[in-house]
Amino acid sequence: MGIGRAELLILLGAIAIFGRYTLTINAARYNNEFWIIACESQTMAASIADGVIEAVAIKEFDEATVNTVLLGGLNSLTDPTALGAESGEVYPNFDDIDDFNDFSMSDTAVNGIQFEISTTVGYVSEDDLVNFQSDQTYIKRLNVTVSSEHISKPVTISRAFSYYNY
Amino acid sequence: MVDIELVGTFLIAGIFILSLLTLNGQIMESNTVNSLNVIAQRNATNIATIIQTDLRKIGQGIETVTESIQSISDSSISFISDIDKDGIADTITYRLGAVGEATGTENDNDRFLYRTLNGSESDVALGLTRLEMTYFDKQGNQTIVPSEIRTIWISLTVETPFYYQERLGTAEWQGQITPNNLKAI
Repeated sequence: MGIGRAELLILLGAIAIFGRYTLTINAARYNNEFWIIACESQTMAASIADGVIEAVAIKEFDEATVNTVLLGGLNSLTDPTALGAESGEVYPNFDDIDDFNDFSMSDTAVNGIQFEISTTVGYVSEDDLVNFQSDQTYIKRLNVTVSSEHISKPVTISRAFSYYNY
Repeated sequence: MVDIELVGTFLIAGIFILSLLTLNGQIMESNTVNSLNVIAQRNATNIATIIQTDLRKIGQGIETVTESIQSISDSSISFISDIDKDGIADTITYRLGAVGEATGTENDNDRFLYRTLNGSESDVALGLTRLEMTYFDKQGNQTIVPSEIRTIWISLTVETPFYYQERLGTAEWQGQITPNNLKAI
């Protein structure tokens, strides 16, 4: 007597359930490894962003400051519409904070993952350290955003640099 | 007489059970390796925090800040700082230990990170397999002159001390530190 239809159906059902189980497990394993890489990349992105801030921290407050001292008044600071690298200034040889306005570059981390870094700089006030002002102030805010295909959401770290700290 | 249907059923059931056990083993392996990677990542960020915390204080409470970094190499740095703010300058050294010093681990490549405070050395971390320090001046150019250093770039690799089925957990970290006291000079 051969295998009946009922047994065949049970066998096919078992194979289907096992196949589904295998696919679910493989997806879970893939997800786990993806999140491990994402976690490491997120940490790396944060440290890269922090590193950019640290590199910017040693620059002059403004093109108009000489050895950290502003020779003119508030209006001698770079016009808010002119923030950015001056002609002839090329990264990494920027000399003041706002040279990093609208700046972007790529960086490959030690683990081989490529990150895209973009920075913006603007004047902010003591009352509002977040939103850029349309006039010169003694505080500049640097926003550093680091993104990568391995992280779901770009990492943004900011720091406000006060002229009085120089 | 052999019941061919019964034999067939046992055979198929056996294949299914073996497959399930194999899959279960792979899940266990994957989970363990992931856990090792997480442990390595945690260790890497802890080591980074230890180094960053001290290096940010280079030159703290020192009059001649440009002389606060005393000696450097690509895996060690020695500097002075009033680290505990007691009015007395302290000498701190970080260095990567040699391969083979960590005898209690299965990993042959892991090393200790040593911190020396005023001549008294202790190991502050284990699991490093690589530590690289690069130094930059105010213009962002690489330098090996201690008095010109303004920024220190650090890159490290951490591995777990133990294997799981010939696999180790690994993590890498890189970062840049500009000590506060070296910023405005």
